[in-house]
Amino acid sequence: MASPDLLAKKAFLAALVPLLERGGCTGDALYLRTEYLDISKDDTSTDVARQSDEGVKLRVFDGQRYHERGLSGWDEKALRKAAKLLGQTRKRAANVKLDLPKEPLDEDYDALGKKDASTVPLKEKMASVNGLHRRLRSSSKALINARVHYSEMRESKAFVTRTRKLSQEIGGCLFIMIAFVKSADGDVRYSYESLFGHGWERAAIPQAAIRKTARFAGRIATAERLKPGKYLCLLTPAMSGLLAHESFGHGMEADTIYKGRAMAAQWFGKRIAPASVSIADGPLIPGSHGFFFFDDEGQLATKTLMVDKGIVSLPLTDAYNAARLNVPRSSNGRCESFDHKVYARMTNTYFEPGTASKDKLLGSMKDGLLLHNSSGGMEDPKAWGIQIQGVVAERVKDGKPTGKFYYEAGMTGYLPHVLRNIVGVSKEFEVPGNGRCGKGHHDWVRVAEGGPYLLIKDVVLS
Amino acid sequence: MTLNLNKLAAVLRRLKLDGWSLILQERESVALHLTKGQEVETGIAAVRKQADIAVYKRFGGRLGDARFTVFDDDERAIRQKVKDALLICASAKKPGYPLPKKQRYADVKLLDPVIVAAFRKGVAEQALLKKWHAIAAAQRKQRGIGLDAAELDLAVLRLSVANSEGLRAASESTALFVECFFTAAAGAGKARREQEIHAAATVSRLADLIPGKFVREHARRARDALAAERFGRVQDGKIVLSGDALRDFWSPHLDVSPAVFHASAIAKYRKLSRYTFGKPVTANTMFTLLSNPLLPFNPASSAFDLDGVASQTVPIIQSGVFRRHVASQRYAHYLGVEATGALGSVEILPGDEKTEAMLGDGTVEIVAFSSFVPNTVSGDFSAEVRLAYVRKDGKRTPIRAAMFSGNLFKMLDAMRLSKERMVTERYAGPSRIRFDEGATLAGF
Repeated sequence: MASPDLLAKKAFLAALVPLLERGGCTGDALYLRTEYLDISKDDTSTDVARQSDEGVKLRVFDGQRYHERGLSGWDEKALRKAAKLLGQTRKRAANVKLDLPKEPLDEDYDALGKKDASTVPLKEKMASVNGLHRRLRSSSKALINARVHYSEMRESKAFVTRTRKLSQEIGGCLFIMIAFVKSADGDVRYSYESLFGHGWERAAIPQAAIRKTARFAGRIATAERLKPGKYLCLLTPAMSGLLAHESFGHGMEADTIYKGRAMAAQWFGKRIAPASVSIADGPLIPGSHGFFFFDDEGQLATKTLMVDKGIVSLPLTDAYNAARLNVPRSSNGRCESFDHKVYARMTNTYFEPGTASKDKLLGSMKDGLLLHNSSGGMEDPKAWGIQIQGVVAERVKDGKPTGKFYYEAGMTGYLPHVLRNIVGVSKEFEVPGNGRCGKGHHDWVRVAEGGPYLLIKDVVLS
Repeated sequence: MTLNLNKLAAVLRRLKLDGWSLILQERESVALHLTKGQEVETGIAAVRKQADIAVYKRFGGRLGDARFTVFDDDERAIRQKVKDALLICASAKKPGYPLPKKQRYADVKLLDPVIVAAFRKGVAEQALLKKWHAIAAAQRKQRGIGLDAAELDLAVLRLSVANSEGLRAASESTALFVECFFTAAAGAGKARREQEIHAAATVSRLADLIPGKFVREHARRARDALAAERFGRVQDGKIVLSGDALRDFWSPHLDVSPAVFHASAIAKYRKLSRYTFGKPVTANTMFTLLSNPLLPFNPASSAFDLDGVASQTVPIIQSGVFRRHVASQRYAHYLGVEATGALGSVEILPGDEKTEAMLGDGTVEIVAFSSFVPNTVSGDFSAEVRLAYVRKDGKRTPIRAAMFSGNLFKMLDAMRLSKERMVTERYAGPSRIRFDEGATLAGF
């Protein structure tokens, strides 16, 4: 159920559309409000903060370009004035024909989990964070500090055009555990684990996740740097997701392709990976960090197969660049906030599951590495180079993880080679990523990434 | 809807709180997004005005605090938010600390009257377009260099801080951000090869971005990237950083350098710092590192931090020895050190070596990373090299496809600093730094 306040705002914005379109242009309006509650606890203190972001984006498209006004807060007088001003924009010869939905749709959506976190008293949240910190702290004597961070989000959006009147409210409860240790030579290192859900039910953190965080910290304390070379690697869902997102997904964003900045343009319809490999993006994975019902241009959520059985297929689009490339619209038009541009952005990005079992893939490795996670990566759409840093790897010998860890490895290489070298795809599948993705170093949106376990030969690590 | 500092302060005073502070930010901006063919895809004019309020409640010697955001100064709404915040205070008690008192601020010049005038006259988008046309004209003079996409953003930022101790701080700054991608191409049809170079700059004044110089520099890099050979080996040491690579190494985009993180009072308080006051960080006595937030017209500068504490230049490491923490008001009080205000550019004192002496045969000079994101806590890093040069027999050959990895703290002892200096956004120091230990370059 959408809140009455959000419905009232949607109705107000709908009344602005005729003002926006007075000059013959196509108009739309997006209201967004995100409220955050952050509780952070470590050995030394507890901090609590509430923050919010609120504003309205008004746009008109004159046939060639968008004209936008962004206003913070909610000020009806100022919004009317801005709409009237934008409404003076005259329609020009249509160089770009946007494929906008014509059928009317008036819908309100929500994803607040089984238990809406906003109904839970702060005391209960504090107790949960304190309890989790205690459990993490007591799970290993080697920790020099432990931090638990709870980040609660409630995102409310209303989007209107001449035909669309949509609203959505999405909840998020993100728990992050960080375990700090000292290495033998005095370096401070850490291991982390994050868990996300739409509602407060996510607060039930399994003991196994806590134990894993502490155990990994212990391993990382004694981890060495990896000798640069090529390795047979089994990527966990977190790592396969990062490969799908950073190395492949960015290169499939329609704006990047239209600008001639992506190698993907030369690959459409061509084989880039074995038939067992498919890569998708879509917001509609319940409980995922990249979840939503419609994008910031009112496009209803859909799944896009970027690689379909090994063949490069469809890009991820916003309205403008879908029109420029003459490809179907996908639900990837997203902006960081009311004063930021809508770009083609990823949502949940993942390799599709395969048929092999993870144990079978692991068992097939005589000598190799299990890549557990990493601190992040960077896109390189033009050259399709892989740049993933902070990789935590574990030696695998005769089909078994040995407990011998490597810290801060970097994964590189040419993406088509790496995809071609995928020799196994597990049926086990998850989308565990809970991060934010930038367009370069700016314009951050929440995303997730994941997939199956992937067995890849000749992975370049340094 | 209004958001006025005096009105907000008056509301908070009337509530007779144990303490309060507020940060009022107003950002007025225009942005242009250019797509293929240098056509404008989107123009955005935006105003963001918000106040972040913190309220404090004392519980004996302990202090509870809570923060919230407002977009207008409606008293009734603020009273309700304060009521909620006071409940949070009871759950967020911590060792007490005093709020900063009224203080004097350095006159840090960060305002471009040309940008301010453009906004006042309503011609900010035209000013941005003019700058863009100059960049595009400079690019057209570069043969074989393409420039298809760009983003430009022009902004005026007004920042005010006030608190219940009578502190008032205000600053006004301007910024121009330009990001574009230059492409060098050679060959035709299936033999066509292309290389792209990312060019980005943030400056305080419109005139500080000189289109000809900006384009020339990046066009040369794009050409070199196209001609670059693969670095097909592993090299330990004899690695020199310069240009953007050097800036990003000491002042990464997304976080502070590990060298600065460990100097922070918060890291010390949380038992995460590896530094001990008066003890060597490195045996390298040439190494002196400061945080300098007072450099004029540098986007990393500011006269005060978000508590309203006056910024100062902080000598963090002097001749290899840890000398001072960078500290916010709260953590300064906890550690019994002086609060230092905002962090600024990383400044490193120059060395005594001539650049040419550092760039001998067999050295590799890295000028740009794809992205440099170190592990702030451990100091480890691995970063892909976008462009570097190998020196051999007096010749300089561009290379690419290599990974630079190591640990910052293990590189300091054998670090060599050039005499020549450079100043850029976020970094001021030697124009070249050579590392002979603790870092590896591996080709792939």
